[in-house]
Formats: sequence, structure tokens, C-alpha cells
Amino acid sequence: MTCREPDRQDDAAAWVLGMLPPDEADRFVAHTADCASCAEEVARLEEVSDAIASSLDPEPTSAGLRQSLLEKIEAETALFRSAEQRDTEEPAVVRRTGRSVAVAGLAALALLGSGILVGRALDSSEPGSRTATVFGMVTPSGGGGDASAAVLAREGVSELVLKGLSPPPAGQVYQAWVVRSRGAVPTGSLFSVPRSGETKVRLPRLDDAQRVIVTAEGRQGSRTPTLPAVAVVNLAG
Amino acid sequence: MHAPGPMGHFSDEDLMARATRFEADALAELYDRHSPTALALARRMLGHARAEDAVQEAFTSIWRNASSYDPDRGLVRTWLLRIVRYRSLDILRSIAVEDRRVLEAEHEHERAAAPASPASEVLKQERAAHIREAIGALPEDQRQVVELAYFGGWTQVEIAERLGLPVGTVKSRARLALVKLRSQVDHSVGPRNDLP
Repeated sequence: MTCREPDRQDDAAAWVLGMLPPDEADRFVAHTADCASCAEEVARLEEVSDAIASSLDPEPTSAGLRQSLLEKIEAETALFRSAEQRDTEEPAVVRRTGRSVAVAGLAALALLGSGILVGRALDSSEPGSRTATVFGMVTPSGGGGDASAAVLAREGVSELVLKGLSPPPAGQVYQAWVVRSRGAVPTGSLFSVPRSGETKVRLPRLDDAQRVIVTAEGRQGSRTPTLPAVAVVNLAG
Repeated sequence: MHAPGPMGHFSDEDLMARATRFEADALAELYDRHSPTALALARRMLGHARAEDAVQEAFTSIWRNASSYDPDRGLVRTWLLRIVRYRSLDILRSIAVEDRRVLEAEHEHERAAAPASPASEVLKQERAAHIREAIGALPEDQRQVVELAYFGGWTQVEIAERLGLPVGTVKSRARLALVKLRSQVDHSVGPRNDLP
């Protein structure tokens, strides 16, 4: 199978190397969705990219880095388990905002210099909507005591509704992902945060989805999440 | 090679499964196995000062998003190094152009002073050496484009401006280089599993 657009093979290499500008990267990604030839070319060249990274001589890491990492993840795990327990024990406070979205109040906790928001969202007012537990994180600059996230599904159309999320860091955009049993699948939804602070992101079908997450990524987006999620909506199914 | 920890007998995939259940020892084992190469990649892209930050952020991201790892899409090591590279690219693109040029100069200095890699440690290193040789054997104009893009994080327009070439030429050289390297990857020796 051959691509009908001859210049696209050069785009495949440029994309794998990360040197396409964001708009061209978006167009190329859209093209690969319909062009098996270019998708295969990307897969072949990505093996080269991976081999280059693996070929570097290992370097000794400091004990301090290891210790710092483990302390960080253990602190986060303790906080997450605590939040899960609280989520189970305390019923959500449901409030109605706007026409259709009801999102829980969120408790703000401090973690390692970042603001973590943990709560539970329950929308019982919308037919077909899904109960969702919200685990949202805002960056330190966000100050987001009011940040929230919820997934609504109505008449087969699903939407992620984000409120109070900080704008993405300079040079980055937010990307929404649907996490299924086989991993995180990019939705193709790249977005920023408008002045109003409320963002709605159209989602694909969520039949077998476990959660919807949002990460900040480079301006052309990514094929796998590369940064911690700033918002996680666990779908209760 | 690191001393095996209490989870040293598990495969990377097993460790990822355990990481999704918040078993910190699993992440510690993954860190011990792969952080030296992760740090080498980050240092190659970012220099000393920022490399450890990138590695820590990458492993934290892996911990938080362990359930998004898909074994069908590649090895844990590959996934992990991609995350390190993407994070390093994000950092690179957030810093001033002048600072990025300083990083390149720092790397060139280190490369000139670095001792040759031991040639016969293990098969995995033979394969790595093979890839490095293949990169070194590329025509200079192609190697330059690959290194500026892959390690330097420069866009095709920036590379074209730096080298005084049309963007199309830069892209063609990038493709020619990757296709050549691809044939070397196919012929390289050594295991492709990610056990230590």
C-alpha cells in the first residue's frame, strides 16, 4: 500500500523526530488516521527513534534522586488512599451549575507544592449521564479551589466538562485521553482554557472506558500521555 | 548493573501491573533498572542541571499513569524512554534559544572528552554500540539534522535556518537518515527484551 501524497513520507520522519511545527503535526496525525501506509511508516521509524534512546551509555544516578522520587510517590499514594477512603465515607455535595451540569464540591489538599483536588461528582439530573469520581489536580499557579471535572453522556454523545482549570503551561496544550483496559487512547482533542474557565471537550464512545484523563502536552499533542494528569474522571460505568 | 531488589525477579510488565496497584517497590525496581539510561537521555538533551528533574518528572508520570501502559504497543523500557524524551523536549522548548545552544556546546565538549565505551560488556550493549556506530556512520549532513531534531528539540524551520537550507531538504535528510538507521536496527545483534 502506498500513500497517495508523496511528500508524506518525509513528514513521517519529521514527525518521529519531533520537528514538525504544531499545525503540520496536527495535519499529519489526522492523515495517518486514514492512511495505513503512513501509519506503518511511522511505526517503522519509531523503532529507530526508540533504538537511539536505548543506545546511550547508562549513567549513574544519584541516591538523592531515587530517595526523592520514592518519598514523593509514597506521599501521593498515602494522600490518594486517604482521598479514596474519604470519598467512600462522605457523600458528595451536589450542586447544580448552569443548565445541565452538577458537579460535587471539591476538597482542596496540599501536596508537595501542588494543589490537589479530590472529590466526587454525581450528576443525577441528566438522563444518561454517568456517575463519576473526580480526581483533579491543578498546578501551583492555578490556585484552583473551584476546579472540577465531570463526564456527561447524553444520547450517545459524551462530553468532558472542565471548570476552573488553570491554563496549560506556556507552549503546551491540554489533551484529553480515554483510558481503556489496553491503555490510554488519545481523543485528538487538544484544547486550552478560555477566559470563562469552562471547557467542554467532545469525547468518543465510552462503552468500555475506565476513566477520562487530561494531560498537558506539547503543542502538537502526543500519542501517549507524557505528564501527570491534571484531571482524572473515573467512570463508574 | 544494579543489585536486584525484592522485586528483581519480576519482568517489567509484571512490575507495571504492580505499579497500577500502588506498589512502590515495583516502581523502585523499574527505576533501578532504567533510570541510568533515562538519565543519559535526559542529560544528552538537557545537560546536567535539568536532567534529574526530567527523570523524576517522567517516573512520577509513569507512577500516576501506570494503567495507561499498553504492552501491545511496546516494551516498558521503550515507553519509559519516550516519556523521558517527550518531557525533555517540553523542557527544551521552554528555555531560551541561547541556553539551548549552550547545551549543545556542553555536549560537544563532553563527547570529545568521553572515553570509548567498553566493547564487550553484554549483548545489549553490543546492540547499543551498533546503533551508535550507525549514527556515527551517517553522512555528516544527515547526522547533523537527526541530532539537532532528536536531541536538540529544534523544529524543521529552525534547523533549516541554522543550516541555511530549504525546509524540504532538511526533511529529506531526516528521512534518509532514519531509513538508513532503520536498516541497521534490523541487522543489529542482541536481545530486544527489557530485562536487566
